[in-house]
Formats: sequence, C-alpha cells, structure tokens
Amino acid sequence: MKKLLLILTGSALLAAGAVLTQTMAQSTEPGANKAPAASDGGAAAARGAKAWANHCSRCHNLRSPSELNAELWDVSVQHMRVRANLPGSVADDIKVFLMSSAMAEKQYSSAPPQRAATASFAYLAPGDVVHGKEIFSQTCIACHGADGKGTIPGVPDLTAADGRLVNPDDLLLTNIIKGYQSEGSLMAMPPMGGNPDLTEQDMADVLAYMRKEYGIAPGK
Amino acid sequence: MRHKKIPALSTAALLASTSVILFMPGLAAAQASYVCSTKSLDRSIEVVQPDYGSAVCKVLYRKPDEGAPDQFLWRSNQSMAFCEEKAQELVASLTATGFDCTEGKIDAVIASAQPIQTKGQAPAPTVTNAALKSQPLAQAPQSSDKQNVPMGGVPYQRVANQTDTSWHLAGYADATFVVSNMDGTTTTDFSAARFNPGFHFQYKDLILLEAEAEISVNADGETDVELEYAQADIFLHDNATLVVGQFLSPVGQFQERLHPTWINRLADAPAGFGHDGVQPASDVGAMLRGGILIGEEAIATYAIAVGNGPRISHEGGVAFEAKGGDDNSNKAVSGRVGFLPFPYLEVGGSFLFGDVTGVEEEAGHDADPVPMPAPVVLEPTDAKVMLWGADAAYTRGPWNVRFEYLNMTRDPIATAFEGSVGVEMLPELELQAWYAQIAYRLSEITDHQILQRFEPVVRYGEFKVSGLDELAEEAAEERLDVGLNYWIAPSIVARGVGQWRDFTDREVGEPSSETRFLLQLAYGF
Repeated sequence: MKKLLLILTGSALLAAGAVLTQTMAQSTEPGANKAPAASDGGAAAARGAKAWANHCSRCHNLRSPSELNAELWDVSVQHMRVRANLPGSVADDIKVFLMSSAMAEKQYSSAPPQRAATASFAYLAPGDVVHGKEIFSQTCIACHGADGKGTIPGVPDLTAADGRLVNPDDLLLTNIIKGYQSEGSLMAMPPMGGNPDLTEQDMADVLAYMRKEYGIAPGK
Repeated sequence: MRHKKIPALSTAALLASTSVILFMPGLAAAQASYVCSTKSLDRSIEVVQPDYGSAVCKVLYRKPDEGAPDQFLWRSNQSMAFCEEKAQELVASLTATGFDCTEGKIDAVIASAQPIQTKGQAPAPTVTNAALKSQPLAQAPQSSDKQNVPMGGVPYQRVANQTDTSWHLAGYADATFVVSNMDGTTTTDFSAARFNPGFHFQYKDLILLEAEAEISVNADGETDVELEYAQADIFLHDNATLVVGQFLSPVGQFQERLHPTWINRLADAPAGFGHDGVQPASDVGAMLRGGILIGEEAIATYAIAVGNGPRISHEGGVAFEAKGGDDNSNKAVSGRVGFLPFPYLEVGGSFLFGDVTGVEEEAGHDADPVPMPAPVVLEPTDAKVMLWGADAAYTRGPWNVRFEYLNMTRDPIATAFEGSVGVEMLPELELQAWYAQIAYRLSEITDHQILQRFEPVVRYGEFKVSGLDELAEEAAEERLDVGLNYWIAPSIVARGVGQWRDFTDREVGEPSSETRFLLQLAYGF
C-alpha cells in the first residue's frame, strides 16, 4: 500500500511538474493567451507538415491527407497523440496541416471545371524567388526537404536533371495547385501543399524558387 | 455610407449559415462581424463568444463560396480585445489583397454596412477574383502582410460545424497463408484471418474513448473475440494525458505501437514479443503519459502505469496479459521513457516490477489431468517480477531500423502449474528476448512505378528461457525472417516472408527446427 501511495504521489508530482513547466513557459511568452496552434495559422500549418512527415513515419507509412476528412483527422490525430506520446502542441500542428489538406482536397475536387484541366497561368506575375523560398521553407520542405531530394519514401527528387522540373510551368502549376499523385507513388501531394490559403501566385513563386535553386529549366 | 452588393445566393448562404452559427450549441451571437468580398467571392470574419469552455472569444472565418468548412482561427482565454484585434488584422490583410470589407451584422450588411479602412489605407476597389490573382507582383501584399493572413488556419480545436462528439472507426485486418516444413513434414494452412476494429470517440478536446477488439477464427472453427484495449484518455495538459481502463502495455515498442500487421514490417511478432512472450501485452489500471518538446525538434516522452500486473501462467511462467482483477494486493508498476534527439531517432528504456502469486491448482484448459488431488505440502507463495528493456529506432527516408531487448526475472515461487502434482517449488525464471530489424524502401533508388513500392526486410531475434524447462522446450528459439513487402497503398501491404526457426531447448528426438513461408495481406483502415 505504501508503494502504491508512493507511485501515485510520484505520478502526481510528475504531472504537476509538467503543468508548472508549461505554465511558466506560457507566462513568459508574449500573447500567452493565444491558443498554441490556432494563434499562428500559417506557421502552425507549416510546423504541422513537418511534424506529420517526421513523427507519423516513426511507426508507419505516412497516410495521405485525403484518406480522411477534417473531422476524422481531428479524432485520429488525438488518438495518435496518446499512442505516440506527442506533446499536445505538436499534435495540434499536425491537425492543422492534415485538416487543411483534407479541406483543400475537398475544395479543389469540387472546383469549377476550368481547374480540372491543365490551365494556363499566364495571368500570374513572374515568380518572386525570395517569396517562393519563404513559402517553400514553410510548407513544401516537409516532404521535399531543403535540398529538394525528398524526405519521405516516394517523393520525387526535384534536383534530378530529368526529373519533374523539366515539365512546363503550366503543367507543374496545375499539379501543385490541384494536387498530384505520381504514377506508382503511394501518396498524393495535397493541393497547395496542404495549405488552402496559399494563392496561385504563391505557387508560381515557389516554382520560380525551385527552378533557380535546383538550376532546372523547362524542357523543350 | 456605402452599400455593398452581395450576390443573392452568397448572401442567402451567409444568412443561413449565420443562423446556424447563432443557434449552434456553445456559440453565442457574434460580437463583431465583417464581410469581405470581391466580385465573385464573399468571406466573413466574426468574433464569437462561446457559451462554454475556457475561451472568452474565438475568431470565426468563413468562405462559403469556396466550399471550405468554417474555421476558428484564433481564440483567447483572457481577452475579447485579442479576438477583435485579430479579426481586424485579418480584415486589413484581406483589404490589402483586394477584398472590399464591410462591418456590421451579416443580416444587416446590406442596410448598414460600413467600409473598413485601416490606418493610412484607402478603401480597396472591388476586383474580380481573376483580377485579384492576376494583379502584378508589385501590388501584391508584401510577405509580412501575407504572414498576417492565416494560412491553413484550421483550428486545432474543432471545425465549426462539428458536434461536441466525434468518432472514427479505425483498425486493421489481415489474412495469412502459411507453408511449414518441420523435420521433413510439410503442412499448408490458410491461418486464421483477423479483424481488429478500433473505435475512437472524442468529446471536445477533453476525452477520447478508444477501444479495439480482435475477432478471429481459430483452428476449430470457433470465433474468438478478445478485447485488446478499452481506455479513456483524459487530456490534462499539453504534456500529460491520464489513461484509465485496459491499455496496451507501454513497455517497449512492439506491442504498443508496431504489432498491427499493416505497421509491422513482417508477418508476425518477433520471437518472445508476441503472446506468451516476455513483452507485456496489456494491463488494467491507470497510466500517465505524454511528451515534452525540447527545443525545436527534440522530444522526451514518458509513460508510467499502475495496474493489476502479471499473473502466474499455466506453465508456471509469467503471463503479461490484462486481467479484470488482481491476484494479490501489490499493483504492478511499469513504464517507459524515450528520447528523440531528432524526430527520426528514438531511444527508450522500459521497466516493470510487480508480484505474482502462486496458485493451489492450475485451472488452465490445457492442464494435464491429475488423477487424485495431491496432498498440499507447500503453500503457494508470492514472487517478485522484475523486467527491464531497451529499444532504439531509426526511421529516416527509406530506412526503418529497429532494435529491442527485454529481460525479465521472476523469483522462485511455490505454485501449481500445468502438469504439476499439487503445489511445487519452481526456481528463478529468467526470460530474455531481442530482435534487430532492417527494412528499406526501394523508392529511394528507383522511380519505377512498381519497383518503388517494394520493401525488403530482414529480422533476426532470439528468445531465451532459463529456469523452466517446459517453457524453454516450447518457446526458446532463434529466428531469422527475410521478407519482401509490396505496398499497395500506405496502409495496405502484400508480403511474402521466409522464416527459419531453430528451437534451442528441444529434447533429443523432438523437431528442433522449422522452415516456414508466409504470404500475408494486411489492411489498416
């Protein structure tokens, strides 16, 4: 009985310590009244993309964001938070990314017909490499990696001389904007990188950045 | 005063959904409301005050014309001003990108809408969506402005049209075909197909109730149903979840995280890590667990559980499966601490200590019949059980490399067991099991649409038993597995596995090796 009491006391102290640590951390942060993940929308989605790529693959293959809808991801990630001992903030970020991606899938799959075929994006401004790098390092980096070679199985090597980037801009932009699954790949790239509030111009900026960074122009 | 023309359909949609929001359980009327429009799109931003929960306010962002579900972008537990400020920041950001924003209640937009102007900013002209997207880069918002527009701002709390309770059916199923050769005798079997449905019921962000059953057909054609786990997860804190009920043991990695066949890289558990092995399977009790982020990437994890603990097994060993009652008053304590310096590298240490109590009569259905009750010359005793283990996993890119080791000792014990005559004294029992496994996805070296889905796997492991001859004879083995996975989908796999087993403690004359070939289809859903 004494042992049980000791154990329970120890557990309570551990929990109290964790609560105290978090409370102290929050109290030193500006804007401490914000929700941990929802307070910084885009950054949470970007963090979530990385956390999804990093943590979910610790045990199993990454499952495509389009496998479940947003509500189901909400429950599923909560389950995984417990099973994988994820800090709540990390699980919340993963939710933001997966739920956003699921919504983007829904949004683009029911989009007007003109989005369905390869579109012309001549109306977009020339890509802004600096801004493209910013977007890439926030969102695309989770799967494609900083070096463009891919961080998870099945993601194509963007730096390959005969790789994806030799395709024309309009085709690549269509795929990036609508989402795309390569032949043989287990998983689709979500529309807009899983971030429905990014714009088509953002995607053009990302493409410009990738072309400059990896030195690959469209093939003829 | 400027009146804004809103397309009739969009206005109706906004009005209708506003009504829903106003009467949505838990949400009071909007405290502030804005509508931002282009010629073809309407979006609304509302500051709402929840009726329950800790939040003082939330900012609701709606894009009905784009088919996107409603989103709560921010919340505050302390200040309504925070939400209002965030809502106005969003209004300013949308205005800067060409939206025309007005304030007021949505149902009064047409009559009393007011244009919103941010400091030093003239009202933006209404533009078409196409025009918005085609605006020259020079007129596009600067990147800092873009940061203010919530990107993918789906709330971690819930989407707005969700009910308080959500649920999700998950689980896995598999079917296996086995060819076995033991001492020249070959058998072939379609082994039992399994169906493991898992149910997850979530109430807000407070509690998740989860349960999984294993339904299978045994060799006699009977359907077996077992409860794998049934637990309530109470989210106390960002770093602490209280689990109560029947849960998978936190000791090691395989049983808790890797045993579902769509996650496991091979067709069965490593030697000593399945049923009747040294790795605890489940327990009934309470557990505190969680993870703590250290810096940007490193994570420390912990799990400490108190439960009924192990019992003496039919053979006189130790059974680590959940029981709805305890055989003594000593609760077992188990747990694991893990550390991930990088997300792809995890090391962990596990422990369990508890007591098992000897029994006067072995009641297992496989017990050998004893003609007459033997006189009890010994009283059953208790024995300490101590278990420790270490594990490591490297999961980066195409590589999936794992190692686990477990060591358990049980003190000498007086107990009845299968085949004993009454209560007998059993010596100290020591069980050791370990395995090392390497898997590699070919997608790293080929883009071929079929080849890239293959994954060769090799695993070698050993289960040692000392102190209990019957168990050693039955279970001690060295095992080599060589397998090839073909991933049909991320959670659907077809695999073939060659398995070579050497039984290291068999009596002379007994089959000492077995070669098996397993074909398996596994589906995680």
